[in-house]
Amino acid sequence: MKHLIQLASRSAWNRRLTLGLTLAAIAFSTLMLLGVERLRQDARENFALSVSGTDLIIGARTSSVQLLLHAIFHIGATTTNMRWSSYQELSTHPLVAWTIPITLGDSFHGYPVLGTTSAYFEHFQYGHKQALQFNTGAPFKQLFEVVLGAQAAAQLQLRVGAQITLQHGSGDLAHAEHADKPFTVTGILAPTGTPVDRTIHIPIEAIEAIHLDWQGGAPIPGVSIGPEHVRKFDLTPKTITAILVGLKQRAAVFRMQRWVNTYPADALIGIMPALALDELWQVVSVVERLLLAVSTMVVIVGLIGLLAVILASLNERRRELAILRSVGASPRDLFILLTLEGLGITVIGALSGVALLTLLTISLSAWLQSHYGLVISLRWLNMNEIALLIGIISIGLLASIIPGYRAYRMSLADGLTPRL
Amino acid sequence: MISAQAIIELHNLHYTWPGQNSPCLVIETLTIHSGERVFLHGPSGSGKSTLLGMLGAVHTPQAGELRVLGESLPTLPATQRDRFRADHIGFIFQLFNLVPYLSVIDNVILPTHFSDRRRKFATPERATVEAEATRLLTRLHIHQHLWQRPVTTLSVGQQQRVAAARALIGQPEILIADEPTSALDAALQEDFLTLLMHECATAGSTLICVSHDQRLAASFDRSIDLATVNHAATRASHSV
Repeated sequence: MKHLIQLASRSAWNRRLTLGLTLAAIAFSTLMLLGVERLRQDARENFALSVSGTDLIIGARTSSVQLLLHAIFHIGATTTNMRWSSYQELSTHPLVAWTIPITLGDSFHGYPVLGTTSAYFEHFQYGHKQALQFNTGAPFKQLFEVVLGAQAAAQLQLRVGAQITLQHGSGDLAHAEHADKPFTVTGILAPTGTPVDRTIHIPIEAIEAIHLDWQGGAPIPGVSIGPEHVRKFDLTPKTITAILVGLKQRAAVFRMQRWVNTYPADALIGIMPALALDELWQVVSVVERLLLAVSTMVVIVGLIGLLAVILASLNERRRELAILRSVGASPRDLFILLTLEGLGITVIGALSGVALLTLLTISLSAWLQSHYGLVISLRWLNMNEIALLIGIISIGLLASIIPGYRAYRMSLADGLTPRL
Repeated sequence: MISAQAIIELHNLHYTWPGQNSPCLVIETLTIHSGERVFLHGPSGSGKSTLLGMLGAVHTPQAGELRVLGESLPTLPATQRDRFRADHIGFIFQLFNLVPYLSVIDNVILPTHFSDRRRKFATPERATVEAEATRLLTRLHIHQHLWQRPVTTLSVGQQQRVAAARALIGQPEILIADEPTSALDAALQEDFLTLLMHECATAGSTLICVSHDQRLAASFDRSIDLATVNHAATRASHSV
C-alpha cells in the first residue's frame, strides 16, 4: 500500500499542472460552501444576540419583521410613526417595568442616528442579558449631546468632546446637513458586536430641535432657528418610531401584546423579538437554502472536473499501466492507484479550502464588521462544517472509483500490450 | 546445453480473443527448458503477443495445458497469477518500457515492490535493492551520472538497457523479451543482445526472445517458428 501511495503521488506530481488546477477548483468550491455555511450560522448568531431582555417591541402597525429590522437593526424604514401620547399611556401601564422610546431617520456618515432617552443606557440589553457599558464618557444630559457606538467612534475617529453635525435622511440621499446645530460627543460605548456599535445616540428631543425649522425634508427658506433659541419651543416629540418594553413579569407578555394590538387610540403592533426573528429566518432560509444549493452544485462541478481530468489522463497512461502490470501490479493495484489519486486530490483540495477559509476569516473579519456589522469569529470547524467536509470527500471518493474501475477493466483487456 | 528440466510446457493449447469466433492460437506441444535461450519468430499476427501474454500469466487459455515452473497457470486464481508473474517473470518490450515519472533507479527497483521473492533475491546479505539496481545498471553500461535522471532524458538504447536491468532484478527464472531490439540501430542490436544473454546466464534466467527479425536467430540456442507451431492460421484457412 505504501509504495502504491508513493507511485500515485509521483505520478500525480508528473501531471501537476492539470491536477493542480483541478485541486484549486475543489479548494475554491469547498471555500464557497463552507463560507456560505459559516456566514449563515454567524449571521444568525449575530442577529439573535442583538437584542435581549426586551419583552415587546411596539410600533405603528406594520409587519413584525419590518418593525424588528427597523427598530433593532436600523434596516429599512417604517411608513408611519406612533403617537407620543400612546407612548405615555403605555409607560404607565401596570404590567410595564420600563420603556425605551426610539426615533430613527437621520444619519451621520452612513451611521444611523437614534433619538432616545437615558432609559436606553439603563435598560437596553444585548447578547446574554448584557447591559451597555461606556468605554469613555457618560450618557448625554444636554440637548445637543451625542453618544457614539464603539465602531462609529473608531471609524470616524471621534473622541469625547468632539463636535459633529448630523445629516437629514439616511444613506445616499443624506445631502442636507443640520449644520447650524452641532452636537458634542459625551460618551463612547464599549463594543457589543451588535448594531449598537454603529449607532449615533442623541436625546429624542434633539430630533425635534434640529427639525424645528424644517418642513417636508428640507429647511424652510428664510426661517432659521438657532440652537440658542430652540429651548423656547416645546421639544416634546409628537410621534416616535417605536418603543422597547420590559415587563414586570415575562408571563404577562401575551396579555400585554393583546392590549397593544387592540389599543383603540392608535394603530399599534407589539412583537416579541424572538418570534419575529424566527419569522425573519423563515424568509431568509429560502435564500440560505438556495445559496447552499448553489455552493453544493459548485462543489459537484469541481469534482466532475476532477473526474474528467483523471479519465482523460487515463488514455495517455494506458502504456504506463501496462508497464506496471508487467512488473507485477495486479488490476486491483491499478484500481487502488487511480482511486487514490482522485481521493488524494479531493482531500488536499478540501483541506486547502478550509485553510483558505481561515485566511479569509482573518483578513476579512474587520471589514465585514465595519461594513455589515457581522462578527465572524475565527474558530474550529463545527459539526455542521465537518459533515459538509466529509460529504465533499465522500463524493470525491465515489467519483474517484470511476477511473479506478476503468483502469481495472482496461488492464484486464489490455494485458501487457496496450491497444492504443 | 539443453538441461533436462522443462520450465515451460504447452499441450493442445487453444486461445480465442473475447468476441472472436476462431482461435488465434492453437499449439499442440511446445516445451522450453531451464536455462535455454529461445528465439521465437514469426510475422506480425502470428500470435506472438498472445503467446507471451499467456506465458506471462495475463491471458488464460480456453483449453489445453499450460505449465510454467511446474505450476498450472490456468487453474490459478487471478490474484495468484499476478503474484506468479511478479515473482518469476521479467519483461522487456520494444519501446516505452519505463515509467516516465520515475528515475532510472526507481524504475529498476519497481518489481521488488510487487514481489517479496524478487526483493529477497535482490538484497542478499542485507544489501539494499538500490545497491542491486546500481550493480545491474553498471553491468549493463548505464553510467552513474544517469542513475537519478528522469528516464525521458535517456536515449532509446539506454532505455532498453535500463529495462533489461529491471527485468533481471531479483533473478526471475524467466525473462521474456518482446522485440527488444527493433527500436535500436543495427550496431546496437548486437551489443544489446550479447549483454542481455550474458546477464541472463549470470542470473540463471531462461531467455525467451520474440522478434520478426530472423537475422537475430543465430545467437540463440534454439529457434522456434511460431507460424509452424501455431495451427490456428492453417485451421482457419482449411475451414474457409
